[in-house]
Amino acid sequence: MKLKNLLKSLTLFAVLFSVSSCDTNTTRIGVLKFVNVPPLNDAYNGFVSVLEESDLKYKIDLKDANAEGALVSSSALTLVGESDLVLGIATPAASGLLAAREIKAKQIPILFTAVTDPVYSGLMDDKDHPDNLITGTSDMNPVREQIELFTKLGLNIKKIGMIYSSNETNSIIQKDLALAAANEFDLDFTFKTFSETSEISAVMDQLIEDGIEGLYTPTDSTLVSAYSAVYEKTKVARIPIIGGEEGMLDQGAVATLSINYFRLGQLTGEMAIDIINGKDISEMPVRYLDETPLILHLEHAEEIGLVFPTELLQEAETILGAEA
Amino acid sequence: MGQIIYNIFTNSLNLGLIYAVLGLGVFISFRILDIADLGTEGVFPLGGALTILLLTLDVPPIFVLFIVTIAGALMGLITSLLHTKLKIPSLLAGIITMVLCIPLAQLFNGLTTFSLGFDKPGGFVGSITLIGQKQTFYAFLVGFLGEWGYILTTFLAIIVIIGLLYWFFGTEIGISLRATGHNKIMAQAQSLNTDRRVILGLMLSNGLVALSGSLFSQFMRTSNSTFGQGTIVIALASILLGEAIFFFKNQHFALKLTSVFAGAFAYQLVINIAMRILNNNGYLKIVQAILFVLILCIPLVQKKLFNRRLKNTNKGVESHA
Amino acid sequence: MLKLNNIAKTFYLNENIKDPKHALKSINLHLKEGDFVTVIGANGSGKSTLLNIIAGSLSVDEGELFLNNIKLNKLKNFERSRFIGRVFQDPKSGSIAEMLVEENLFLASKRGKKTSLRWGIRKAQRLEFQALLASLNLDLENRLHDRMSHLSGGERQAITLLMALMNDPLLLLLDEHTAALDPKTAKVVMDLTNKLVKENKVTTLMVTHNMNDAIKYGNRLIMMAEGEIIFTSEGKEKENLTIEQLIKKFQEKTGNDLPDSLILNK
Repeated sequence: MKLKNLLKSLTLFAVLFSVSSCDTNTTRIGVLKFVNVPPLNDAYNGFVSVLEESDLKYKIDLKDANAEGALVSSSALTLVGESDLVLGIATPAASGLLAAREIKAKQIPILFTAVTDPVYSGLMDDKDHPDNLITGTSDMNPVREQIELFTKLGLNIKKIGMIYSSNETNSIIQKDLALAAANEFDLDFTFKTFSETSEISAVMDQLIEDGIEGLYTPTDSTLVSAYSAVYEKTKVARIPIIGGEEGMLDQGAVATLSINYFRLGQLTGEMAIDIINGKDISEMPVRYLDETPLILHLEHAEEIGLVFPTELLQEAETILGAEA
Repeated sequence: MGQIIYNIFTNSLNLGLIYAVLGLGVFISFRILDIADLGTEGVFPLGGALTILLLTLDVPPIFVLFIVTIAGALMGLITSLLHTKLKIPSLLAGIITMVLCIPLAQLFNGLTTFSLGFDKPGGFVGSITLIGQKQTFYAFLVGFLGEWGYILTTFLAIIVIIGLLYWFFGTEIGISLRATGHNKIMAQAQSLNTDRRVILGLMLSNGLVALSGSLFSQFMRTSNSTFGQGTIVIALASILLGEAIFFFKNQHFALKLTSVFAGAFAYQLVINIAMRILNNNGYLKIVQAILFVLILCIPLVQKKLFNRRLKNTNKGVESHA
Repeated sequence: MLKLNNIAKTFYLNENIKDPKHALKSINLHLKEGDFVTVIGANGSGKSTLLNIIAGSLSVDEGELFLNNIKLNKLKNFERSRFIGRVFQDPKSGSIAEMLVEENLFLASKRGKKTSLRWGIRKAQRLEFQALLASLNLDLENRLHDRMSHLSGGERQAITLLMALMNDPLLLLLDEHTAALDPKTAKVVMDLTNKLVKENKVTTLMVTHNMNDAIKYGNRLIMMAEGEIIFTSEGKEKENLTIEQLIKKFQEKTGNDLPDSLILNK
């Protein structure tokens, strides 16, 4: 019996504790961040920055799920129960909020960000006509334009390869897009997958034996965690890497069209304000970044004997790896 | 803020019921057979992955539950064979099964992806969501009752499971299984094939774990190979907390089984409340560890208090003598 | 009834082939039906090993065991339990503390039989158990629903004895089953043992530390030292044995003095 009393007083305490502002004019925004990594943090910060600059009265409840399914579930249920609008950062968080909303049978709008393909991930049926009170921003990298970059390097590349981890559904989507783009730009395309990072070296050997002249690395967190294994091989074979995102340039890629997650978050924030001000969600298709600036890495290019054509250098917004 | 209390209550009840199934499964291996089966962390997400696959293929939810339970039992078979026939310590046997189950779950996810029209089979996929139109086991009651439909559905499932378990452990086989767990030597002296009973027990236990994973995945409408992380802690905490709550009334077997559910619910309550006080879930892990230790200490405290009460009543008796 | 032919069992301490301990060296033993044999010897003489290899807890390195022409060598211990009843030294081993008295009795009643999905203990069986317990004259007939752990060591051994005798086993093994009890309780249990063995006419092998008991009970006596049977006695000769004679025999055969570990008094 003592335990039951303890539980009762704990509940009371928690209730009093969370009663900070019972102001009905304040919008309660619940944010579920899937895991604590830089891109997702940047997205969150971008989101908040836009809210701060507006004259909206709001209160944010941020929960970090630490990449654990059980926490996603309980956090999502809590947030949906007590917010007027929720934001899911990364696909698992968004899915969790969607499921929680159905359980609670509460019709609140769900926003997502840092989700590569919301349709493929089961969040919605139609990116352009949201019909389930859910929409958001996608961090899908401009695969087509990134593949196109191979034709702009001045190397007369005919055959490209792609490597990705079979665990990542987002990579599969990018592979399909890359294939289509390669066809469009008349490039031969081959790809290989791995499931353990220890297999990367062997897979790279196979790709190089296949005669690839350029390598595309999609946004794939498993790949990123062992990128050096990829770079070792391409450096020796003097093959340029076009990366799916900016971080890859530090690790060996020579060029990319980058996704700025802070900006993506800001975009999401703008959508949130629109919704709160009464805009109809079904008229808010999923948004992508309008700008994906070209970034080049001079030093990595030099290492494999690549000299960027001047037009490319002029197009670039940022050039990394240049000596002072 | 009545809404907050209501939410804490319903969320804990919902998840508590699902985790009660998990707790009952682990109860069989941990308390009845006295075996620490770490396979749980793999079998749980495996149940979920298989569920999402079958639901995507339009298998009726009630069949899905049966199939998944059998799949879990097969995993229990593997663990128990490793332990009884190959003499691998139970701790390691469970880990082997767990390591086996995670990629298996990812294979199932890959098959789900394939059946939806993406990619080819044979790939390993970390997580997949059940698309909107597919109905889960919950669909039936949820139609009328909304949120409480989930609670009622799982509640009914629990009643059925506890009923079956109570009957089973009262049968001749059930009693012999309990004997094996308590005192293997005595059981063998009564000509019981203890290996066979361990196998049966672990199959039953893992079947329930897979079932609980299935319910969880249907609840979240997602399969994720990481869903199993932390399930052992949740299961053990639920069992121990349940025993603490039902202290002294713990003797009747039916009550023992019910206490697992009570513990699961109570644990979810505590976690839920802790989550609200600590907004950053990073510290939640530390709090969970501390809570776990506290739960483990409760029996000690209860014993001490009981002894003190005993001393006082005896003193009272003496002074009145 | 029980035949042991050239039984040998060696333990290798520390897995070292050069460090063998010959627990049993070429044991030959033949028990006739109805024999009540007491086995006496110091610690390490091999008497516990003997019991264990008969029960099947240990395997033999050489030799054959037969129980009523059933070759036991390949049978596992739980398979042998069908024919063999056993009472252990530790009152906690032979019964399950956490389960009820009636559940323990139930398990014993199922020894050698298949277990099914039928509901456990039925009313008729309970009455049977009550009658059985009453025959012990220890006031246990009303304690069917008590947990085994609530009974004293002596009561548990008595019930374990009862359990071991259920379903008419071919052989009864008693492994120093009174050694952990206080002298008064030990005597009660020993008297009970004698009574039940006589009533059931079951072939019995009893290992004991107590030389008085070894002489007083049973129709045959075996003395072991260092893995061998060094002395046997039966019938009238055994009845007339004295402890001094045993001590002298021991010195003769082994050249050593009888170790103090053998209890000389009641």
